[in-house]
Amino acid sequence: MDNAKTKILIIEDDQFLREFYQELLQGERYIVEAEPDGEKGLEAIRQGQYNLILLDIMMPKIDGLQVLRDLKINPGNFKNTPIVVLTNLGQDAIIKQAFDLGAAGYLIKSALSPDQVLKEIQSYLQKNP
Amino acid sequence: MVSEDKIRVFLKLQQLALDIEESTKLLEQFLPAVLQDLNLAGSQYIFLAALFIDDSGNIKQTFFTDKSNNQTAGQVTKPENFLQKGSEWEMKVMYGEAAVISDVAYFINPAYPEISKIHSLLMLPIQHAQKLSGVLILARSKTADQISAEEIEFGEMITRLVNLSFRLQDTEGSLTKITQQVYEMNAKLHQLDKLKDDFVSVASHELRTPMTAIRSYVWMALHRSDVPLSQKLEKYLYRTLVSTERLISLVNDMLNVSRIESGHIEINPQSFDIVALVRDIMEEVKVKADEKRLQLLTLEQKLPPVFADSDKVHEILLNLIGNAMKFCYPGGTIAVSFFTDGQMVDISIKDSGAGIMKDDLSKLFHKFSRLDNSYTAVSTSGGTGLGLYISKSLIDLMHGKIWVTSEGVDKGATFSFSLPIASQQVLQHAEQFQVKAKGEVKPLEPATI
Repeated sequence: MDNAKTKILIIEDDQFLREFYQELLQGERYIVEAEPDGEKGLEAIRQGQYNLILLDIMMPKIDGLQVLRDLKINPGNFKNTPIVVLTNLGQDAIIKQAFDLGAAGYLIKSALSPDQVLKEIQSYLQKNP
Repeated sequence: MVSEDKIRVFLKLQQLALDIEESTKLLEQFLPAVLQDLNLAGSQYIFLAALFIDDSGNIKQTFFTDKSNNQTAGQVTKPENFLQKGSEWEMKVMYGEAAVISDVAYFINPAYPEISKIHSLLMLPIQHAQKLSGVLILARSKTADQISAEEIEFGEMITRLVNLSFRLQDTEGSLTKITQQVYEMNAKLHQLDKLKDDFVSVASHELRTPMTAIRSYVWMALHRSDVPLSQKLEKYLYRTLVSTERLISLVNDMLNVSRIESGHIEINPQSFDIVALVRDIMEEVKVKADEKRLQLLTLEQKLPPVFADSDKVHEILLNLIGNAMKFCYPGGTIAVSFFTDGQMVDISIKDSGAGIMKDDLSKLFHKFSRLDNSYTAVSTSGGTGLGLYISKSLIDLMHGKIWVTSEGVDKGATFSFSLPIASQQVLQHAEQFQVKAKGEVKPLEPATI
């Protein structure tokens, strides 16, 4: 699929990391939108049409797991877009919870180099064009 | 000689002393039973008092019982008179002898309603560890001359029971107190331990966010710069990147050490194919190896499955192969081979790298075992000094061994570890290979290569 037609949403509270992932993905010609917390993120997911959503866990207002939970109750326009958790929390219990709540993948920021993150994102997009 | 029925009374009372459960009030419950049983056995005692003294002869504790059982020793008697220094009776009890006293008025408060019935007092030494620890006083309705050797002997037997009860009460009282203190301390330590764990977890997460940001932007500067980098700038940025990666690894490794040492790591052994796992890991590290132009070899052979925790073995292999890659020169080779003696499988990772001096071999598996003389300096290797310690700790938990050989500097090194084969015998005792976590189970942070 053409990257220029692929829309990715990033929900990340750390400004530097948010802008970094945005720039990294824009560098690959993806269309990128970004939200700084779970509340705004949830709103965007329910309204927009994305090809992939990157979701942080530890965030103010609504955390990532709660976003997944709320989305189950009230999905709005959200339809099976893969949501990949992108976090620095590596606890098994949280990973399991995220998958149980419908996450398509789980990436640990500190364990992956930027090109590895890109590779992972590409593989999720290929699985769900 | 003490008659048989009195011995029966003695045995009954002895059993009672041991049976009373409320240890802090043992004597309060025991002494009325003693008085009652003595009188049932034919004695005619009006009251029974016990005075316990400390090492300097001062009264420490007093007990009193009569049929009304509502007075204290201090109300009825003048306790200090019994222990009057230099008195005839005091001298006797000091030497472990019984004293029979006629001068009742000197010891008993005239207000005591039963005083007229008391005609003499039998005073018996209570001994503990060959020392006077108190006196037992029996108020007799008979006169001093109407006393038999048997009565005194039986009284002396009874003092032993009274002493036993007092000691039981004493030790049990303080034991209960000590136990309680230990419990309280333990609870406090647990609380502190949890606070520390929580702090370490949160702090490491908070640390990782800015470290990830630093690494990400340095990576951007190196790989996505819109101006060409000078050679110098590229070197500086590259060193910043490597150092940040090392810092992230260090935080992860320190978390892992803390989790292993506090027993939060679980070992869930299963039978699995170790050769297949090695094959997977070689695939995982291939990109990194290619970057350094390293050749990876797996000398595969057919092996029985091993019985270990495959996630932990994955971590160990990543660590050892990662080390081999760090210390290999570009163009070098890393080979993984296997050996089995039928009980254990040995996995060996051989590299053609920097090697290790003989003297340093034994130091390798310690925490922060940085070796100045042979290994490449830690700063350029990117190691944390904790990886081998973590690997050894995990292998120990899985009933295996780890060891290293090297012919010396620049002659490469071989790190080997062994794991038990999932034999019938091992599987029959599978529970012995399992390690349960103390408290909350925590995973290992992934090793970075």
